[in-house]
Amino acid sequence: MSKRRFVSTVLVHLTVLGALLLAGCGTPAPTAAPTTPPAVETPSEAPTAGPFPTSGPKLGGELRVSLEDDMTNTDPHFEQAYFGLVVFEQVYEGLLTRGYDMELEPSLAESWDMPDPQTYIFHLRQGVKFHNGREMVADDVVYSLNRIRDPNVGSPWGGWLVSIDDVQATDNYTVEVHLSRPDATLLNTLAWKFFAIVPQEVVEEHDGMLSGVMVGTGPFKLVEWQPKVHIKLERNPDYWREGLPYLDAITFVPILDTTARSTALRTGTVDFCDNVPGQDVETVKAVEGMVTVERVATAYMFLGMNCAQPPFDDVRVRQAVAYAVDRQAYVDTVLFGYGRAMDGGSIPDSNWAYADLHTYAERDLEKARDLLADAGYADGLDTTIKLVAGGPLDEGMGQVAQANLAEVGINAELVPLEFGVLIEQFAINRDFELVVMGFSDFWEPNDFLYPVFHTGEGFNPWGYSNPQVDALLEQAREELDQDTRAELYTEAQQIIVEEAPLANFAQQVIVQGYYDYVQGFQPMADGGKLSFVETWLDK
Amino acid sequence: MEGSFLALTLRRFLRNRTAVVGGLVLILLAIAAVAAPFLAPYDPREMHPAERLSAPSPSYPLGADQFGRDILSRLLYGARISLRVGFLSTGMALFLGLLLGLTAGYVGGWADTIISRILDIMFAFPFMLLAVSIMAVLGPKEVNVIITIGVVYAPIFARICRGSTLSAKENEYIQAARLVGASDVRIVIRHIMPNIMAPIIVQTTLSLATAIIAEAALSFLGVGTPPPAPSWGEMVSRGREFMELSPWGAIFPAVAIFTTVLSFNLLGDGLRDALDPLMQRAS
Amino acid sequence: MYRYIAGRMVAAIPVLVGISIVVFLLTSLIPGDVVTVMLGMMRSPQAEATLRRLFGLDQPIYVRYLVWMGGVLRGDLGVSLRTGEPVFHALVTRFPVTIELTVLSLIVGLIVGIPSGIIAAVKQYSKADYVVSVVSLSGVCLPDFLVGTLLVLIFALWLRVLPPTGYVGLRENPVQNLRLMILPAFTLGIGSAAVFMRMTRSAMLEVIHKDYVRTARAKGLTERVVLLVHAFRNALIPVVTVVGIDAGFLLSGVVIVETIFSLPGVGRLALDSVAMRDYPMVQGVVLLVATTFVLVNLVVDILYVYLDPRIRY
Repeated sequence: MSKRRFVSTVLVHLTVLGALLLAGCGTPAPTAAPTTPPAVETPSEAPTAGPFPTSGPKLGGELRVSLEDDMTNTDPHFEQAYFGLVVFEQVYEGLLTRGYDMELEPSLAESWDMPDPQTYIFHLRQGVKFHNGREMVADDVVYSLNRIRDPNVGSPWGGWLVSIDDVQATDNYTVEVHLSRPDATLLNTLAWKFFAIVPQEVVEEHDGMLSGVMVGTGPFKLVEWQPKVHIKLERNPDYWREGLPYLDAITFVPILDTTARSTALRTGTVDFCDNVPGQDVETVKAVEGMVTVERVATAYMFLGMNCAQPPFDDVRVRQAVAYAVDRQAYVDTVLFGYGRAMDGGSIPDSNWAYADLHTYAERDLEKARDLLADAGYADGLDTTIKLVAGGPLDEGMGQVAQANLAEVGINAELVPLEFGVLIEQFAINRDFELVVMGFSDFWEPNDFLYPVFHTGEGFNPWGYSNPQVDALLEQAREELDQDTRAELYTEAQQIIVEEAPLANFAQQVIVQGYYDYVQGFQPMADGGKLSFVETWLDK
Repeated sequence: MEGSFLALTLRRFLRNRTAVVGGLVLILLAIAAVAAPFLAPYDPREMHPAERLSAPSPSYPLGADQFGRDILSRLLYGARISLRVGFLSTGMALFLGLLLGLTAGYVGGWADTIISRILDIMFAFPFMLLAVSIMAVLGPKEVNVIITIGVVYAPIFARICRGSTLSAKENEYIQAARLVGASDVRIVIRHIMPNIMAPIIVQTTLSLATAIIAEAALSFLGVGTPPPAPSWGEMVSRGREFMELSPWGAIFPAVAIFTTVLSFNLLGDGLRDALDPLMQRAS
Repeated sequence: MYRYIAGRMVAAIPVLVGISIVVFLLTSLIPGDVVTVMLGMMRSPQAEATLRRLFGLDQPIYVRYLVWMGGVLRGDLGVSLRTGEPVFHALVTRFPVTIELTVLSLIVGLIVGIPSGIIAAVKQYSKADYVVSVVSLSGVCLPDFLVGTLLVLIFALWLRVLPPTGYVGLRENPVQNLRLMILPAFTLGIGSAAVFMRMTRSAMLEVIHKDYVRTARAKGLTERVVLLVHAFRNALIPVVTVVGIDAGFLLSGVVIVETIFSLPGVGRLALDSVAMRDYPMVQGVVLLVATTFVLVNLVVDILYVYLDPRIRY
C-alpha cells in the first residue's frame, strides 16, 4: 500500500510538471529577435500591409484602443503623462498642432503673423464651438494662456511660457502675444496639447481644477472616465472640420500588464494597441488581418549621474560609465531589438538639430578602466542605481547597466523605488548617484537640451552646470534662423556629450498594432500622438 | 513521558508517505541551496546577451533567461533566497505571534482586550496594501521583505497561540502549579508552551509554504527582493512575459516553487495527523 | 440575538476607527504626497504650495484626519485628490466587481473543495485520499499570476473559447460578464478549493470517529444518511469559519488577479490610490473592506447558531 501512495505522489508531481511543460511547447519558438533595428519609415508613408479599403470612409463604429497606462489628470494644463496626450489629442485643441510629418500646422489659429521678433498675432478660426456649445473666441485663448502662466494656479507648464510678457485679445478673433525676448520655441510649445484652449466658465465651475471634466473643441467629447478602467469618448457633431470625425465613439482601455495587452490585441478584444511590447511583436504580426507600424520614437532612456557630488562629479568617472555601458545589449535584451542605440547626443537623427557625434559608438572597457584609474578609482567603486520599481524598461536597463559597470569595477546596487518615493529622493532631494530615467515626446530641440542641461532647470536634478552650454542654449532659443540654431545646438551637444552628465542608452522603436478594418489611421513620424480624427472602420 | 510521545509521533509521521516525501524533498532543497556555489555552472548575474532565451542545452542545462543568464545557476541561488525569506519571515511571525498570543491568553484581562483588538485590526487590513505600504516606507531590500511578510503573518500565529493558551490555562496541572506558587514565567515555559506546540508547529510549516508564495506575489508587484537577485518569484514574474517565446525562464522556477510549497504543505499535513492526539488536547 | 448583533457592531467601531488611523499614518509615512506625484519633475515651490493649499495638505496630519473623519460621520467620504471622482462613486462602481469575483471564486472553491474533502475523509489513507489531497493542494502551490497566465494562454489564446481580459457589467451583458469572470474565478477558486478541502477533510475525520456517529450507525441508518446528515452538519462549523476567512480575504481585493485580467476591483483601486497618495480614496477603500470583514465575521458567527444548536448568544 505504501508503494502505491508513493507512486501516486510522484505521478502527480510529474503530471503537473508535464502540464507546465506542455504549456511551453505550444507555438514553435520563433528565431531570435532581430539584432539590426527595423528600417526607419520615412515620414507620412502609409502603413504597411493590409488591403486597400473597398470603399470610401464609412461613418460610425466604435474604436477600442489599449494604452499602457491611464492618464492621471483631465486638466490639460496640469497633466504630464503621455497617456494624457493621447486622450487630449481627440478632445482638446490648441492654437497650433503638429502634422504627421512633425511640421507645425494651424489648428485653432488659422494663421499668424510676426510683425517683430517679440510679437505674435494669432488670427483665430471662426465658428469653432466648445463641447458645451459656446463659440471659442479670443478671450478663451487669453484666459487659457494666462492660466498656465499664473503662478497662483500652479501649472507645471508655466515655465514653458516665461518668455511671454502679456497676452491680449485685440478683437473677438485676434490674439496678440508680446514677448520679453525672441523665442524660437513658442510656436512648438503652443502645438503641445498641454497648452490647450479651455473655457473659463467650466474651470471656475469646478473650483479651478478640471478634474474629471473635459470640455474642449476637439473631434470627440468625453462621455465617461473610470480611472484605470476606461475612457469613453463620443463624436462631437459640431466639430469645425467638415465631415469629421467618422467614428461614433472611441474607448481607451489602459492595460498595465504587458502580456495582457498583447493578448487583448491578439484576441480582438481591442482593435488598436499602442506600444506592442517588443517580445510580442512577432506573435502579433502573425495574427490574421493585423497591421503593424513601426516608428523610431523620441522616447529614450538614459542613466543619469549626479554631477554635484562624488564620485560622479568627476567627468572622468562619468565618461567611464558612458564607455562601459552596452547599449546594444539593452536594445537586444530589453527592447527586443525594437530600439536604436544612442551613441551621442539626445537629439535623434530625424530632427533638424541632430548632431552627428558618435562618441560612444564603440564600447571601450579598457578606456573606461583607465579613466577610472586616472580619477583615483583603480580599485573600483561602490554606488547605487535608483529606478522606478515595476517599470519594465527601467528594471531591464538597470540590470544591464549593473552588469556592464561590474566589468569595469563599478559595483552598483539596484534600488527600485516606488514612483512617488523616487521623485521625492531623486528630483526633490537630489539624493542619488545614478538613476535610470527616460524622456519622451520632445520634438523642439530646445526641449531636449535646455530644461535638461541648463543650470538650475527643472529637468536638471543631476546638477549639470556649464556656463558655456548655458550661453549657447540661451542664444539658441532666441535665434529665429534655423540654420544658426542648428549650429549652436551642435556646439552645445558636443560639449554635453563630452562631459557626459547622462549616459544615453537607446531610443525606442514604437510598434503600433491594429486590425486592417481600421482605416484612415496615420502614425506620427516620431511614433507619438495618436490622432483618430480621420479614422474609420471598414466593417 | 515526553520521550515516548516523541517516538509515537515520529512513528505516526513516518507512516504517512507523502509527508515523508515532502520532508526529503525539502532536505534535498536545503542541500542544493547550501551547495549552490559548487553546483552552479555560472555566476547567476552573468549576462550572455547573444544566447538570450535559449532553450535547454549542454551549455545552459535549463536554458537562459532574457538577459542570457543561466537559469540553473539562478535557480540554485534562488533556493537560498526563497528558503531564507521563508524561514526568517516565518520565524519572525512565530516570535511575534507567540509573544502576543501567550500574553493575551495567559495574562488575560486588559492585555487580552487590547491585543485582541490589535489582532482584529491586522486581520481586517487588506494584505497586499499593507505589504506594499510597508515596503514603500522601508525600501527595497530582502530584509524588508522578510519583515513585511513576518508582520503580515504574525496575527495568525498570535490567534492560534492565544486560543491554545486559553484552553491550556484551564488545565488542572497548571492550576496546581499556581497554587504551589510557581512563577508565571516558569509556568508558561514549562507547562503551557509544550501544550500549544502542536498547532504551532503545523502552522509553521504551512506558513513557510505561504511565505514563499507571498514573496513571489510581492515580486510580481515590483516590491519583492530587488533584481538582479534570482528569487524564484522574480524569475517567474519576469519570465512570464516571454512565456510563448521561451517558457523555460518561467517554468523551471515555477516548478521549483510548486515542489517546495507542496512539500511544505504535505509535511505540515503529515505533522498535523501525527500530532493528532496532542492537537485534541491543545484545542 | 439582536442584542448580540448590536453588541458586535458597537464593538467593531473601535476596530474600524483603529484601522482608519493606522492607514492614515502608514500612507503619510510613505515619502511624497499627491502633489509630489502630480508635479513629478516639473515642480516649483510655488506650484507645490498652491496645490497643497488646494488639497488641504498644508494642514497638520491630525487636522486632516479629523476633517476626514468629520466628513465620514456626515456620510461624505470625500473626493479623489487626483481624479476628482467622489470616493463613494468609485467604491460603488468597483466593489460589485470584487463581490462578484469573490462569490464566483467561492463557488468554484466549494464545488471542488468540499466533495474532495469528504471523499478524502471517508476513504482516509486510501489511494483516493492521497490523490485527491495532493491534487487539490496544488491549488495553493503556484502563485496566482502564473496560474492566471497559464489559463489565459490555454483558454484565450490557443483554444479561443474565452476572452482574456476586461470587464462588462452584469446588468449590461450577463453572458459576456460571466465569460470574462470564468478564468479569474478559477484562478482564485483553486486556491480556495485547497483550503476548503483540507478543512473539510480534517473536520469530517474528527466527527466521523465521534460517539454519536457510532450511535447513528448502531441505530441502523444507512451509511450515506449517517454521513451526510450527521457528520457533515457538524463538520460544517470549522468549514464555515474557513470560508468566512477566505471570503474576507477575497473581498479585500485581489490585486494580482485584477491586474492580469484587467478587472476594475477594489484591490487595484487601493494600490493605485496608494501609488498616487490619494488618501481619501485609500481611506475609503480600507474602511469599506474592513467593514465588510466585520460583517462577514458576524455572518459566520450567526451561521454557527444554525449549525450547532448548542451554541447560542
